[in-house]
Amino acid sequence: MRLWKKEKAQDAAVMLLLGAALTLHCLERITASKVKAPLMMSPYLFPVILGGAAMLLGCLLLRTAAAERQDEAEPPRLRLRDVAAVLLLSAAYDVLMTRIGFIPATALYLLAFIAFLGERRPFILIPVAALTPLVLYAVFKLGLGVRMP
Amino acid sequence: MQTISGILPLMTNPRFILYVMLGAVAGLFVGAIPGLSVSMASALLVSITYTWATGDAMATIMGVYVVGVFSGALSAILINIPGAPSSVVTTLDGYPMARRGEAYKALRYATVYSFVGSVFGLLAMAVVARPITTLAVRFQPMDYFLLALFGLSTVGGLTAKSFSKGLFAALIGIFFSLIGLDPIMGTPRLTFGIQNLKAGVATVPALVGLFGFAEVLSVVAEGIRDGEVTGIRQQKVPMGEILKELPHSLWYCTVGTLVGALPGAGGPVASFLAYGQAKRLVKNPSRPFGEGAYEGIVASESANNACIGGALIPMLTLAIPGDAVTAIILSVFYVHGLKPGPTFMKMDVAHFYEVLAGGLWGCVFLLILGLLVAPRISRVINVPKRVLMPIVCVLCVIGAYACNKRIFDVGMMFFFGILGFVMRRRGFPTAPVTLGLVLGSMMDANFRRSVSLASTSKVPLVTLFGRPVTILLLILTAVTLLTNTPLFACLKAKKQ
Repeated sequence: MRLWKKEKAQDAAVMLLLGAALTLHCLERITASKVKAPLMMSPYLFPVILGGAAMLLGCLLLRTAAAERQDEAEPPRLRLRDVAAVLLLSAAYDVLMTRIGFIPATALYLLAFIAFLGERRPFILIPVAALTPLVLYAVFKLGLGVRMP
Repeated sequence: MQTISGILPLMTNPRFILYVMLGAVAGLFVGAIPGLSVSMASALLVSITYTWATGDAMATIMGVYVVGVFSGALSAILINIPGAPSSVVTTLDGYPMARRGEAYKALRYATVYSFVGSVFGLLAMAVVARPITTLAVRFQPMDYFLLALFGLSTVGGLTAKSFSKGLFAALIGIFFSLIGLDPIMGTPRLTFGIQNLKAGVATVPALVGLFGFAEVLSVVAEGIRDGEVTGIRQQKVPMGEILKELPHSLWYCTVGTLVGALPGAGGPVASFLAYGQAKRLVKNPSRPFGEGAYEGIVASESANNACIGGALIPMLTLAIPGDAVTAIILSVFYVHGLKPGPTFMKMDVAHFYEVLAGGLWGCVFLLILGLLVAPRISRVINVPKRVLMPIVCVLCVIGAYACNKRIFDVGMMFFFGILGFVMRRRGFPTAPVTLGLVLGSMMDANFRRSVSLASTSKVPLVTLFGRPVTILLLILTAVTLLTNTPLFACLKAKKQ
């Protein structure tokens, strides 16, 4: 059985690492800066404090993770492959939009996405994929004057 | 009197009313359909209304906000899935009522008391905003910094099971707000050599990603599940019977407005608190709470709608948003070149009236749509998610692009969507990120200004913290932070 405690410790480690990375990066920028502004006015003063606060919160979370003894139920299983596929589809859509334009790219994206989510009935799939980009374009661009990709 | 004469021209302006109505109709569907949220719709509206007149934009957004918060109750009652987080409590009694064939009655109660809550909150805003502004004019940079810090620490504690995770989420938002040209020195900061980041992280694509694309990814990850709509049978529910709960409702409204005014708390917290109050106040409920007591719906809906006016108070008077939606509305103000804050009521009072009049018309449309249209749209709220989610993605792309006309922003939207998804999976709330994103640069500038002023003083600590307001804010922030540490939890446990 997986433990929530373990996940909490992982989260705490990530918080500590991110905080440390931010603090080190900002301190390095402060020392490397050619413009010698007083530390109080440095653009990196607040990010340093932010990094420190993140590390402190990481420590607090680690403390609570260590204090917990009870094992809790396993979290629900996620379909991460599906998420990855959606991200790939969306990245392809982003690229396609600049190449072939909003309407055809959106039609292809919707067709692929809806089919991927399990809707295979042509009388739903094709009208939705074909009409949605046209309706969105008409409503947003022509009706509301929104700038479209 | 001044306020009444200020909102009267707007209340009778057909164009203004039309825009509120458009927003209200959109809000009805957006709030009712699980997977679409008021935050998501407001974020998309920022980009859509970018080129509009400020009044038209305000009218539309207030329509969406007021009706959207209410319509979350529709899916809560009919399919046991809250359309908005603030309607979670409504499911407890709303769905059991629907299962018993009393969906129509439950909807009537939800509509009437959402209306009561919204009007109460907005009137409270109208009354309280001016006195707060006169107090806020005396605020110094350190006061602003502490007030924002107090808001973030509160939201950190209220929106997550773990305080550390909630506050860390706020820090993530602040971090992203610091990227770009430093407002004081004018030098690039935290851009990591990426040219497009010099202009900073645009708020709208970030919000659209966090609330829109992240939701799509979550739905896909959990597997598509559509709810089953409970049928609605019309029944006779006398208005006199519904209004019997009005005295209790006014107390829930007060709780909702106060919680709403607390930066970061918002509707879900208010409705939970009000529900707890209802359990104590109502000795003989119509049915046991949680098994279909309409008193539970009255508490939840009065409180979460009263939050609207409450959340707008700190947003308009101090530029500190009360919840995610008001954080987005704040960015609408910035997009239109307005500056909410202590001087807002003097410099831009006309826009204050627009918010108020838009909200009040929103309440009227809430009542009309809730009583006449809501019972008839039960089929629409169950749009198959496998069709809805891809369309939401396309809307997110349009919303992210429209503000600055940059494909880079679409990429940023995807990035924030992934970030929001990962955060939700790991138990980090996303609402504090929004607040951090909106408040971060203000906190940075005010902190550095106050520290730099103090550094030239002979008594720097007195200059920084020597004023009564500053001391009060410092104590509040310190108490909020300290009471959430594990050490305090240990002491409390030992005492018990």
